[in-house]
Amino acid sequence: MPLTTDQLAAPLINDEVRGRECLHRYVRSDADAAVHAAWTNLKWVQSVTVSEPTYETERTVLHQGSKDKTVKRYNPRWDITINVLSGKMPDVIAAFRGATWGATNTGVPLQASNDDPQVHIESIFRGEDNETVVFSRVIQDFILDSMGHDNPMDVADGVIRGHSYYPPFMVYTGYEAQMDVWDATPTTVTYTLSDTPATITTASSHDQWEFDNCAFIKNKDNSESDTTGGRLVTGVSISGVTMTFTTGTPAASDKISCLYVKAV
Amino acid sequence: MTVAAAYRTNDIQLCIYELIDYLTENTSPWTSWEAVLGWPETEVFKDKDAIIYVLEPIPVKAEEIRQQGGLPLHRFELLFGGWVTMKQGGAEEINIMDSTILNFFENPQTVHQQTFTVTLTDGTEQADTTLVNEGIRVEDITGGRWIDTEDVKEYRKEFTLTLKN
Repeated sequence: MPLTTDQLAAPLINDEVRGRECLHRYVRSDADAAVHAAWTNLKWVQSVTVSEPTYETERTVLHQGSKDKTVKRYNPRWDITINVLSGKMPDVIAAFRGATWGATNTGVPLQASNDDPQVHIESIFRGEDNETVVFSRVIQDFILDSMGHDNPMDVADGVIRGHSYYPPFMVYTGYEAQMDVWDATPTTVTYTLSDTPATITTASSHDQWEFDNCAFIKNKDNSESDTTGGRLVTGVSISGVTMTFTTGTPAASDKISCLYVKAV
Repeated sequence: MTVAAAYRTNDIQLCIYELIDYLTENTSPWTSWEAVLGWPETEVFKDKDAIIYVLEPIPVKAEEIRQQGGLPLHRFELLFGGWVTMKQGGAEEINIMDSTILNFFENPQTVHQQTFTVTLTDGTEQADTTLVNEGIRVEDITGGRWIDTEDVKEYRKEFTLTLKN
């Protein structure tokens, strides 16, 4: 049992991480069909900040037969701020939108055109050797906000704002995020992941997760002009590397994606 | 395994010395130079190679406290420098040394992942270890500053390495 007089040992040098040793990378939410959809390293980043969530609806529930009350919260939203070198703001915004800023993509609007997700972002927090991974943080389905633009006299950050409706999560050292994408084959109910998804922390904590796996499965119905893909939390299961649709077999024009965490 | 807290002054100096010594024995252009532990005595100038001497670290801030209820990390400054004679290449050679040292110590992947072998003060041999394995973090390097020499045909520059342990 700990004593009130206990003195802790000095921290180890990897007990803290600094921004200069972090690596950020992203993959487009609508990446083309591929096992190991390619992540792109994000240069010029100074910080990626995830705020605590706000809720669309929050209310206190009182009910008869009990003295307890419960706070119900619905539809969380995490606001995210990405600071980049000021000269590279348009490059990053364009890249998140799937374009390369240049002669064929000259204009980068600061207005968000819709509420569709653009990218998943993985921030890898490393030790002082710039290689030892301490942990990672995954922001899924990042959506660009409408934003402003500062132009002060001195060196300044370009501030890119966005949000996500799905929980960012931390990933243990030795694991990384990966996304597999398939163009659906009609009547096919099983799809093979390129690696085995890791399990989440607590078996019962699978709100929006596929059961106990660190897996987010989406089905984008192209026949319905579906631009984002619906997130599936029922009607699909994962065992090992096999993903099986038990209901709602994907149709010919569908695109399926699975974002999950796997061992490096 | 990390350097022992009770011997950290000697152990940190040994680690930096062995790291540089490994480079001077294995990696170009470091192979043109010789590592010296401590202040260089006059006999080292009889060697054909220019030298890099490594002095003891000085604790500059022993209260780098980053947690409540416990012991601190320590911050050290370690002086080391290059000493080149005219025959060994003069000003041009020490400027190459200067650039090479800065390039190596400013890159966190190279400086923290370079392996070397060191026998610590308590007699423990750490084979193929790294600064990270020994619990040493290179925070920063400044220099090289020109240091006057008695012989005008000698060139000397000194660096300050900021370390955490």
